[in-house]
Amino acid sequence: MRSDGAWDRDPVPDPLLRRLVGRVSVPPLAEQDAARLEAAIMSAVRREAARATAPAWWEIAARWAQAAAAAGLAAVVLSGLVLFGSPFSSSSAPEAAPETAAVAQVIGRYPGDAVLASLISGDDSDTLSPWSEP
Amino acid sequence: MSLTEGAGPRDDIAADAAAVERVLAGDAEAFAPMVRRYLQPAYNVGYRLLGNRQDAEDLVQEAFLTALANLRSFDRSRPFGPWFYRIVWTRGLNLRKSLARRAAEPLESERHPGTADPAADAERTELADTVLGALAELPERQRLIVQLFDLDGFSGAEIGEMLGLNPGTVRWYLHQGRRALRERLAPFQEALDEE
Repeated sequence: MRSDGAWDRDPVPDPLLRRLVGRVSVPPLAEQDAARLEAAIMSAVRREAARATAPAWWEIAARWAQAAAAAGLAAVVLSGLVLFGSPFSSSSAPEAAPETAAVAQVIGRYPGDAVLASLISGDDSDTLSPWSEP
Repeated sequence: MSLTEGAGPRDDIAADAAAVERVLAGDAEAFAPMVRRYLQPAYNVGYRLLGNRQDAEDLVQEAFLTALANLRSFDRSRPFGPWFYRIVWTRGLNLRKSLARRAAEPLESERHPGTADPAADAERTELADTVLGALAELPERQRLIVQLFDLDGFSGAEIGEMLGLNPGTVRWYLHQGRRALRERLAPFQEALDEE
């Protein structure tokens, strides 16, 4: 290959070759074929663009991640409150149920009455059975 | 044929860069002028490579979609054409391999309608056969470079970028191919001059 700068510029077009080779080469796309091909390409481009802009599931998930984290935290706090009680409520012992107080008063009035005590406490271990009698 | 007819290269770069920016921003319609501008040269490259209209059309469509998918990697300070033709070329080589076509497959020839002069028809047929034969005898690279340069109007630099060759090497192949064709086709110069 020569290195005297002969290959630094493009040669001028060769009209004879252009005519001869052009005779046997299929001409470029006809105008209507080019328009049809362009329409097909742009239709595919629009489809691709629509698919590319539709968010994927992980994008949706990422978008809702902050809200989901906040909701999860709130659920944990609420569950804690329900299970272990509010830290703001009183720490004193709960008052006795009124029924328990009334029962204590009756038993106190008849201290030796074991039957009364047993009945009031709901203990039915000594219930008489008709079949147990001799 | 100028590949960038009607505007200077700088204008093309600026116009293409602006269009690419709009496409990347989500405006798919901004791709339409680029498709219009590069469709014909891309088809020519595809046709020279595959030797078949339908395959060339499929290739061009595929190349535009590949370009769209890789648009972020395109350097907007450079012309779009050579980058895109390189895609057409490499996809075309892959397609040709998958189609298992021979590189030197005879070209489709333009069919000339017959005339009332059988002698003239015979001469035209002989000329077409000789030209096709001379083209088919060229090494593939030379044949493609002659066609892309002399018929389709690509520059040596554009062909070089497409084929991954130095422009000087492209011009050397062009010189070799032209010389071989001129030798084979010289007898027809007179006939052509008379037309």
